[in-house]
Amino acid sequence: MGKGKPRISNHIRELRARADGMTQQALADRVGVTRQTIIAIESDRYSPSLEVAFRIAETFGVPLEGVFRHEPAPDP
Amino acid sequence: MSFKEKSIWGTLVAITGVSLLYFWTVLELAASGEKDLRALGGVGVGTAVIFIVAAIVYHGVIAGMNPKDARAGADERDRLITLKGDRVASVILGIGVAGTIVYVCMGNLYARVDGNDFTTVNLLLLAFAVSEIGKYVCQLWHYRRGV
Repeated sequence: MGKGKPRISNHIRELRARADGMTQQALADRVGVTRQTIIAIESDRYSPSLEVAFRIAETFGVPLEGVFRHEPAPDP
Repeated sequence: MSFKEKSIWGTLVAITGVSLLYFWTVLELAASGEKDLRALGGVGVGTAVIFIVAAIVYHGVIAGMNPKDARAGADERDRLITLKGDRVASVILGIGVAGTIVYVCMGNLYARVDGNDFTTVNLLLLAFAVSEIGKYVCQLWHYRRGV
């Protein structure tokens, strides 16, 4: 009760930069979502489904925890 | 802004405008004592045609500006936001229908409450219009602020 919302952050922007500056549109096309969804994920405004999270990780060839980091909600 | 968001903005503006036009006309009909369902039907069909034409023209224009975005289907985030909007709409519509039922029952119980078909139909339409507006506002909020 009263616990804040847990936060999922990610390193997608850095991973895109390392992947020869992959564009948001290119990543969106490979993952099968819209560019707006990639923008929302990058800015922590949307936590993707497991399926999309795995597809993003596979696109960059890294494990899931190499892309996403779960930050538990602080206790009140 | 994505095609989806533009579509929602346009639909929100159109449905708000058409609802205001419809209910303004209904209030004028009621004020003139013309509480006739046939006259109401004419107003309803007229405003529905205005809404459909406005929606087709607007969507044609925004699709022409970015055809690729318009052709792209909804992804999981779009579907989630649609569901959240539908949930808000169903709650508002439920409250509106329950309120209308109370109004009809009061009309049957108390002679002073004018529980006629004209008012009942318009209360239901008002609940529907408000629920649709609530749905689109909720969807835009989630597109802007996150899900």
